[in-house]
Amino acid sequence: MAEVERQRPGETETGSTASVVQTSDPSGSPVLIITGELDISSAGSVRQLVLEAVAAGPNKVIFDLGGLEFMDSTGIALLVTVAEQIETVEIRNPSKIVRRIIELSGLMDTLHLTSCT
Amino acid sequence: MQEPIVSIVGSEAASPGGWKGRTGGLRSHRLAIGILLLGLAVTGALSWVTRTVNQHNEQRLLTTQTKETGTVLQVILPTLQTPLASAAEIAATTGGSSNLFTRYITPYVGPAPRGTFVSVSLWSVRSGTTPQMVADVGQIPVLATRPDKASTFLPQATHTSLLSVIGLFTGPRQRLGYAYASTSPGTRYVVYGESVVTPNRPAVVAKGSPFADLHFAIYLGRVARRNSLLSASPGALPLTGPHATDVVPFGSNALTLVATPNGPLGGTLSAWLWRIVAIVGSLLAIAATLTTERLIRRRTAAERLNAEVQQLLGQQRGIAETLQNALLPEDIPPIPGIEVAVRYIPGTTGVEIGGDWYDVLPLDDHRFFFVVGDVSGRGVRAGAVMASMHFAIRGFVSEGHSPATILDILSGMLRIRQHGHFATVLCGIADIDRHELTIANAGHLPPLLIDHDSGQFLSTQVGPPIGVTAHAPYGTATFSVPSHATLIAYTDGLVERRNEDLDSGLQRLHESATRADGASLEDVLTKVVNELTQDTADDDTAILGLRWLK
Repeated sequence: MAEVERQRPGETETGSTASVVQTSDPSGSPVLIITGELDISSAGSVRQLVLEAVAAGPNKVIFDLGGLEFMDSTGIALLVTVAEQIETVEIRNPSKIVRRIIELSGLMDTLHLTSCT
Repeated sequence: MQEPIVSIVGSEAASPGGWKGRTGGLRSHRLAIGILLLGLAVTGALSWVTRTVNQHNEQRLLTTQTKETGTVLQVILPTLQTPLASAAEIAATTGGSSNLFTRYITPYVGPAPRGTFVSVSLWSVRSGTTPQMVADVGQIPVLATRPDKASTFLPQATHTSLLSVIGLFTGPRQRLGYAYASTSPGTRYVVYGESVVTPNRPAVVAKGSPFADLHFAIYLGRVARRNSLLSASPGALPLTGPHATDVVPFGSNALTLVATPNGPLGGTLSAWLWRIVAIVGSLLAIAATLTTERLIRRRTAAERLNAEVQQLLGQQRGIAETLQNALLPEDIPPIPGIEVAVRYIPGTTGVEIGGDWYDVLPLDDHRFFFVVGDVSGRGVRAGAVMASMHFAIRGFVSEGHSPATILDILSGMLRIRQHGHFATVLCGIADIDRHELTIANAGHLPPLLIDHDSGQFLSTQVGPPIGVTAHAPYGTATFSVPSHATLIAYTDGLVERRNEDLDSGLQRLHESATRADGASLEDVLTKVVNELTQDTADDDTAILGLRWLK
């Protein structure tokens, strides 16, 4: 993975925080590592960072959600928004919580879930 | 979240917290007055202590200075005694020679202040006889005009080695008399001198002398009696206020010195210190009071403003809930053979409109359409998307579309990229008579079907949420419903919790609902809501319960 380019905490009102770290994989696709809790109170700033990262219109965007502890429908909305714009969205290392939300939301075909260790 | 704060500033006048402000004012007054009283009390105590200490100090200084003055008075004695004693010895050795006596004593006699005495006389005293004046210099001694006094005072002088002192304060010429006897045996010669006593003429006190700081009065004898007053400084009498008395031996007699301070002995600053403490302390107490008052007023204002903010936030939440409730069906129409119960629980955080909804629409005498949906996000836009979904579905249902078709059409209406929201929708048709459910699912959580003590989440064919893709193929799944079975459809707010996977939430719902199945449908929902929703949940929750009555 390439070096960390930026890291900013998502601001929240209720205490939940999420942060985004952007790197890239060997093929040059942006990798967005989201950690913390991605919910209605933290999604606003995370959304802005994510949309900035995909604004250049790469063919593929990878979300590494291995460090994401919680995600609600607002987080799903963010992933789906990116999936709308980018041909391939890969969700890497989803926790069981995240995987189940995506599964139950009927988004297994839209978001490509992969795991690597 | 900014808007309410802006509007609050403008609505201050219409504040319902006015009475609070007055209560705060009263409280602030009480506290401020308390601080003022405390400050003044402390000031008073400090001032009193300072004053007392100063008074003690003054008294101590007065006593010390009075004693010093008394010592100075004693120094006068030798200046009186020495010439008289010498003259007495001369008289004794010369057999009472008046010439030698006169020659010796004349320099000491004259009007004050040049002469020590105004009159000095030589007397021969023989026991058993009246004392005889042998010679005299200066004025005629007053004692000579008072034989009674002379016959007692002069013989007494022969019995002491001290200077005998007598006060002659009656008559026009007031005198202080001193007598000293020769020590030779046989005929005793007594030299007697007199000095003028002018108690009514103020004594002149030189600046810098030990007397300078004091008003004093000097009396002959051991008691301060008015008629034995020898001297007094200007303004000394009457002696009032703090004073000190010192009795000093004066020959065979004594002098009583009464002194009162001329001014502050310890200096002006220590005399004024208690006043300075009082004034500065009072000013500080007043300043502290005013500061307290102002701080309390500010806090009261802040509290009032906070109360207003809370009230307006509450109002806004009320408006949001009212709007939400207006968007939800007011009354679910009664459907024969089916019991319907619904719940809507707004999220606790924020004041925005949520995107959850439910609806039940009868189709014919044995079928009805039902829907539970959840628009992602919150706020007016989410509410608007929810309303459009809600009413679009009603329209499509009235046109006779199947649940899967309805989801297809809806997915063409909402674009997350454009609207910023997507929606999960679970909809279906229930056939009451045939005990059958046909369900289509756009990314929504599976409904729970409870048959007596057992329940199962229905494995519907889950398509992507509405708004994710333009034309998702949605399918339907059909389930048969046992008699008296209950279907619970809900939004994710009911089962989603932080740091927990969704299956745990689903399991909790399963347990809670199956345990409560013996109760009425309303009670089941109440129980599920009580057991599953958290006070701190920030997501909305909508629940639709359907129970077959046969």
